Amino acid sequence: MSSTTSKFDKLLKESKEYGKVNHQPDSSKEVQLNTPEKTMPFSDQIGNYQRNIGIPPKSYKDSKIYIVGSGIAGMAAAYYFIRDGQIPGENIIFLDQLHVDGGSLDGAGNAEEGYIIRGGREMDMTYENLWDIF
Amino acid sequence: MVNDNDPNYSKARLIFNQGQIKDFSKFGLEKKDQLAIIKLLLKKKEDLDDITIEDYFSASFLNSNFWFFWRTMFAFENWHSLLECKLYMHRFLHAIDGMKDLSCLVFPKYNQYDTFVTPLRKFLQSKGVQIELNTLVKDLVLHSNTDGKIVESILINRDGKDDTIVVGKDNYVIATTGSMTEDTIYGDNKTAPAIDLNSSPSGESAGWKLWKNLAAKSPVFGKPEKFCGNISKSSWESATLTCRPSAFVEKVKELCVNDPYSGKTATGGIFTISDSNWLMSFTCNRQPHFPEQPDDILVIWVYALFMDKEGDYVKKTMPQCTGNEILAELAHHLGIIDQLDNIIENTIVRSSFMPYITSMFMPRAKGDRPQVVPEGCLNLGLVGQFVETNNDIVFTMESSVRTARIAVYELLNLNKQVPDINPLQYDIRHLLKAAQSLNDYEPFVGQGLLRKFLKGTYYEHILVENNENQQEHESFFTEQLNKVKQWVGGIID
Repeated sequence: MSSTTSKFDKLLKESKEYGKVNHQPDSSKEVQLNTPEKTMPFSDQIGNYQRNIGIPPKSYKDSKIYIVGSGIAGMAAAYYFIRDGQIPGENIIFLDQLHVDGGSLDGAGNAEEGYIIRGGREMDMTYENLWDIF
Repeated sequence: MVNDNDPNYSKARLIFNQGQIKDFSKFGLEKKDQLAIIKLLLKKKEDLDDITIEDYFSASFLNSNFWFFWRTMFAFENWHSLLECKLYMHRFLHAIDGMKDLSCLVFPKYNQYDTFVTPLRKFLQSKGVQIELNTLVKDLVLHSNTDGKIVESILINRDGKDDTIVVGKDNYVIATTGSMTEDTIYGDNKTAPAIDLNSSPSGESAGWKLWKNLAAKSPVFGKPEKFCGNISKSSWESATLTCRPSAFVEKVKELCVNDPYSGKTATGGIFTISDSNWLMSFTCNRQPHFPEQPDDILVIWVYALFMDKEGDYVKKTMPQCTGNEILAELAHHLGIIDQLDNIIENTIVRSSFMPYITSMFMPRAKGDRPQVVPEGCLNLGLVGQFVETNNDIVFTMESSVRTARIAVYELLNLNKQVPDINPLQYDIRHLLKAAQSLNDYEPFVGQGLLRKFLKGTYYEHILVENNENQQEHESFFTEQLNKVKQWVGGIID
């Protein structure tokens, strides 16, 4: 990793954003102005630029990850640890109290005993994070 | 994407009078209630702590078609959080005009497990991720020093035996706090989930205990009891019907936009029985709903919002009813009660009473939900439905994924943002369209002026065409001006 970024070390060292990114910018508070200080996209400037997958600032290959609960939230966390954090999948362990994964997202049964879904999902095309995975 | 090739919409969104379609073409909001919506959108989030929807909106709003559509499609109760309702209005402002016939919705190919959980689990397992089931996490041991809080170990019970996992430095813990489906009680054709809403303990079970244990250590972990403390306000019951051909299937077919056996959109989202005491709704999503489902089977889902009301036909509350009694209540409302025996014979019912299913909608105040990475935590992220986000809403997979992504980016300090919610709510086209549709396409204040101004310009299309066709007369401008004055007066009164 450091070899791929070493040419930019000086620039990164002087960057006002590098290592200090606001990971969840708030669109309800942000005044969206282009200024000499602005480097990151606006808080809700969604699109392909925002979908770039950066390089982690350091290697996390020896970090272990314990995820409590195997619902969609926990699974999505594992997905991003692997995709964006470049953490090896073998380092990630789920712990779930139930005998089945998925949390609230259930779906089981057969035609003889009856199917069961406790709920169903009605969705919107603006789900930027969900559609980032699926 | 399935919706790209098969539009979703409904031709029977509201049903009443034992099987009749009720006119659902209008929101039917009075001027004062439209104004109340606008005022709510203008309010600052910080000013809405612990206020309920019924504290704010009038009876006429709560009885409007708009509110029937809204509360049944999202499962809002009148006593739920006004703040969350506001966030929903911002989040789905662009979709409001499609909430009458549900043409705003997207449905997955199969049920939620086969569509989302199975492929994601397979991907993760292919990368080497391990999933340890039957492993209950009881508590996290935290150590505080001058740098902050570190999870040192995880206390677990695996297959009945207590154990400790040492976490240590440079390792991370992600925990889903709270659970909307914890303690689900199941029933079937002959068994009711039967629960006494008033005497059941709230939030005592394992799915809530971890969060409660954390909250006892520090206020940065929020107040779980605000959400799990009152199951009479956070529960409802659903039932899954596995249907062989019957009088019920015939009736459903009649109300669908396509033959439900065609694989295309069937009911197009829930039908709500507007005169049902239970406020019952049901849906037949695209079939098959399960990958292995036989061709002659339909899987239909039913739910109701009021758990303490007796049915109109069965004089019991829904949780007191067996699956067959739920079928009777449904058959009554569809005008086919005379064929109940045929329906029962051909329909398998599996019901689920969920004590906490809308717990994330409970009225809340700042600080009740912890931050994704709670203040001072160095290796702990909290995800799911009970953590704070800037503008996103709960009861969606989107917010679960969002919180997970934020947790990863913050804990690893990646040089990357999780963008805030889609900005369509700031799009003038959607703002205008929302105003038009909330007013059932009667011209809103200043609409005539705006149309004149835009006519023949690049921006002409931003105002949706409707039946307004100005009856232009001499006092046109004076009239518009007066309307503007009234409207502004209404906002600042």
